[in-house]
Amino acid sequence: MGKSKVIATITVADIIREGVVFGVCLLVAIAMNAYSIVHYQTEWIELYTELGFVATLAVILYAARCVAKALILVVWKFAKRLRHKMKR
Amino acid sequence: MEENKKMEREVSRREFIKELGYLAGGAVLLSMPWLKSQTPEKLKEINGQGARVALIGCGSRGQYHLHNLRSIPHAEVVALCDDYEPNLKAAAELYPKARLYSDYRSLLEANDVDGVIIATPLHLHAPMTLDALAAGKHVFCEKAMARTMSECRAVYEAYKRSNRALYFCMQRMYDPKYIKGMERVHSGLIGEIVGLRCHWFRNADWRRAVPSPELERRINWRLYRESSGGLMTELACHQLEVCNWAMGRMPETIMGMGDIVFWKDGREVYDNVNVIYRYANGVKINYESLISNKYNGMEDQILGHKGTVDMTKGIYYLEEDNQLSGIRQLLREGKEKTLGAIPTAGPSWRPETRKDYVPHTLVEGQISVNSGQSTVGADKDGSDVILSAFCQSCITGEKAENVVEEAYCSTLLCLLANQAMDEKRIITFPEEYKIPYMKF
Repeated sequence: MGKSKVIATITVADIIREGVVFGVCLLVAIAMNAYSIVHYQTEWIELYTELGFVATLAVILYAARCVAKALILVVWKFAKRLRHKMKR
Repeated sequence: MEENKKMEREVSRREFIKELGYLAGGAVLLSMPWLKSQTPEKLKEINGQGARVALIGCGSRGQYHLHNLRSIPHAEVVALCDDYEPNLKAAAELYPKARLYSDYRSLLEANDVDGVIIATPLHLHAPMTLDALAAGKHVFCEKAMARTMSECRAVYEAYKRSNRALYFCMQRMYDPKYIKGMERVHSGLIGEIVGLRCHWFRNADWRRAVPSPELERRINWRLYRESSGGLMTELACHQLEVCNWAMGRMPETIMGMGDIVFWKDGREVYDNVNVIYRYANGVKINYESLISNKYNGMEDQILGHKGTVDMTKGIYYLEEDNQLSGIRQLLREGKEKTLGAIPTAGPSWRPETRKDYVPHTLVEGQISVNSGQSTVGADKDGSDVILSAFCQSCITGEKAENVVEEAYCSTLLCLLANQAMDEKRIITFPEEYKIPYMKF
């Protein structure tokens, strides 16, 4: 009998989870914008005028989180395989 | 086509005035009174009239003026003069209807010439200007004012006695970037002026082709001391005027070093100069020029404790830039702190390499930037506007305010720098050459 192939599926729960994560990244970017307005004493209208910049920042934060998660996953799987080999 | 070009130029000149927001009697005109002739009201006065002008000196710079004159609707070139026939012929091709002269004195006798434009070698500026004023002509002379300080004084005194208009081609006084830049500097944009840095670097020998050896000192006049003040009078003159304009005063002392470093071809003028001018409050102009490396190009920088204006590029920078949005300043600061060089001798030391400042333009829209590499002249650097103002004066008889005085001041500083370099000593501005216009 051949090995069965595991096909990864993206579930609705995954989409919701990633959506929440992106939402958090967006909130962090907005918070950074608000903090910078207070710290550098610029105009509050930048909450609106810098939305594009903030959205881009949120995407970068989300991408960084995805890269970090992928790296952790790779390291974890490698460590697991190593432990398995050592047990044998 | 010619008419269209003239109309286009007229419209763009009016826009220039409108953009700078000048009105007759406005505050800016009080600090820059030579621009009064450029107000819409003054322009209306000459509507339909034309100044009959003649060019004396039809070399490259003279021909540059002839090209500019084509776009000035109130100018008519009636005569050309040069004692070097190839130049005269080249100019005549641009204005075939103009009368031709080889002796400028004959030209000055003509009754149908209102004003003369002098674009000859430096040592001829003073004698020709004096003769032209004595002949009752309005005069536009290339910079610098004269070859020697005593000649400068003679020209200045003759001008004060005369009722004729006299201009020297200090085109930065009519360049929108410089006008706007000075307005911003004087309004306190960059804070207190703490230094001035000007340099002019080129990489060319300044030589022109000479058809026969006896013409060497005539054609390559810039290289010989009897006819030229070298890099100082040919280049620095404009930049020193800008510095005095910014400071509103004259430097008291001058020191410098000059050498022939690279172009050792029999020339007599320096090809490498470094000069320091010191104002009474300790602020200095650092002036550098050499013509064997063009990496740094040409720059006129005014350094204030809050920012820097780079006049040549029409740009200013702020030390603490509050014109960026908060989030951009935050990210820039974060980037500098995290990606800056790792300190090696403890956290108190970081290499102070040149920062990346955010440039802000002085003038909106397209501007003309002079690279400083042309030996003939740049496009739209104010030369066309000052020439137009001269033609206007030929019609109205009005003198331009401060132009002669500024030319006198900057020429004296150039000649004193040469003296300081030759004599290898610090020179104090001589009392006998001070004029009431000067403030120290």
